[in-house]
Amino acid sequence: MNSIIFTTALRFLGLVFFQGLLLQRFQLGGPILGHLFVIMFPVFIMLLPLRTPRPLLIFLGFLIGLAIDLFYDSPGLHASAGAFTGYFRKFPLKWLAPRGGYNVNYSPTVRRYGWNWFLKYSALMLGAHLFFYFCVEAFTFAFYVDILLNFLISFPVSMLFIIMFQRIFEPLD
Amino acid sequence: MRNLIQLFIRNGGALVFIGLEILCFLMIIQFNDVHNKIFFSSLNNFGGWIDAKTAKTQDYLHLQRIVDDLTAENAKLYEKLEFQEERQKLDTVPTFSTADSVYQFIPARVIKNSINRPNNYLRLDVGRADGVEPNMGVISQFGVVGIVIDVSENYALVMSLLHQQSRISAGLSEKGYFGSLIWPGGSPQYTQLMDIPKHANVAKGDLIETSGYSLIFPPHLPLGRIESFSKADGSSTYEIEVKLLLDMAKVNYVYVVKIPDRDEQKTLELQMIHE
Repeated sequence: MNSIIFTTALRFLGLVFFQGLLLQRFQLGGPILGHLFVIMFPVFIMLLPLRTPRPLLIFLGFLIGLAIDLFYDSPGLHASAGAFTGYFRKFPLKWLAPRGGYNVNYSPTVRRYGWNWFLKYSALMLGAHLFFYFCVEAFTFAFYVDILLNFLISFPVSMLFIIMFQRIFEPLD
Repeated sequence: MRNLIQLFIRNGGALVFIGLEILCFLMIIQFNDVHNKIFFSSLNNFGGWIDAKTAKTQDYLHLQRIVDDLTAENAKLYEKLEFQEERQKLDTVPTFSTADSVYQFIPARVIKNSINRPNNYLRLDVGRADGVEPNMGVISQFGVVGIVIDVSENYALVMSLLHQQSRISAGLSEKGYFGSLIWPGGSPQYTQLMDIPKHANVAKGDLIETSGYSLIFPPHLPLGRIESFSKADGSSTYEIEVKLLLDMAKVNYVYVVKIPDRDEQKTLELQMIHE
């Protein structure tokens, strides 16, 4: 129990600094690469233990988003997307539920449920997160072309970072 | 209380989510310039849209009355035209100045009006850009509406006839007696005509017209009819109650009266006072 809180806190800090200090600077110009925003911090919300109470899950999503906002200088933007992802998590979990159901003591990781399952799960979560974030960032659907381009270009690269995170740390919970 | 807790347990996620999203939304529009601008311009757009729709509906509801007014005004103009044609036939010698050429009329629309306050004002959709200046008269086809007291670039503020300080030079032009028309407050339909001497022969139903002395309104503009009159003891003048022809509650299209050589005439008057 204590170890999972410790791991979660460490993951929170690590992801905030990695996203806020490194990925935040990774911004290129140009007609295509200008639309590239590498966003991998939602992996924190994805990996929270399955038994996390839903209000806490949403609040933690909001909290990590707010921490990211400090670095991006955009109060409320990432926080709203984080809270949304926290709220959204129960749907992919329901759609991808294994035949025997989940073990509530586990976290949804590669080592617990396998690569196949995790890729589907993280793609759904990241897709929802990025779509919500780009909509809120544009704040009007007048820029739908930009929203779409942002999404199409940022999604695969962010996905790559999430996969690398799993390969490198191979977290159990 | 227990119900409340149960509600939270059942829907806690959704409630926390909605609460946090509202908080985020407020933060976004508060602290992010671009989002702030988008939000408030959208709000403005929406407000403007609502206003435009309301105005359109109101216009539609008022159409019948506007048509009636315009028809009446048209009829009057025809009468005038006939009169002019008749006169042209009669007059072989052309007049060197027709009375009408002295005045210019600037059409305007009333966008704000009140009638039930102690002092009432109107706002018109014309301003300095249209040639409107303070102290110009405002009339409709049924009589005097008020006097312009302030103008901005595109709007004019008008002191209504229904204002305690409004004083209009008017009287019985047929009989040649003139006084001032004031509004004592109360009903927007009745005004008082002051300073008509007791020896004048007034009767109920007599037409009250503007005098044209003040260089604000043209002369012979009908105002109303005498409703009742009385002779107060110890006073040398009548107290005359006048029922207005114009329903101030319904003024919609008006004309601002411009007298091009007004300044010249005023200067002359001032010179006379100073001498």
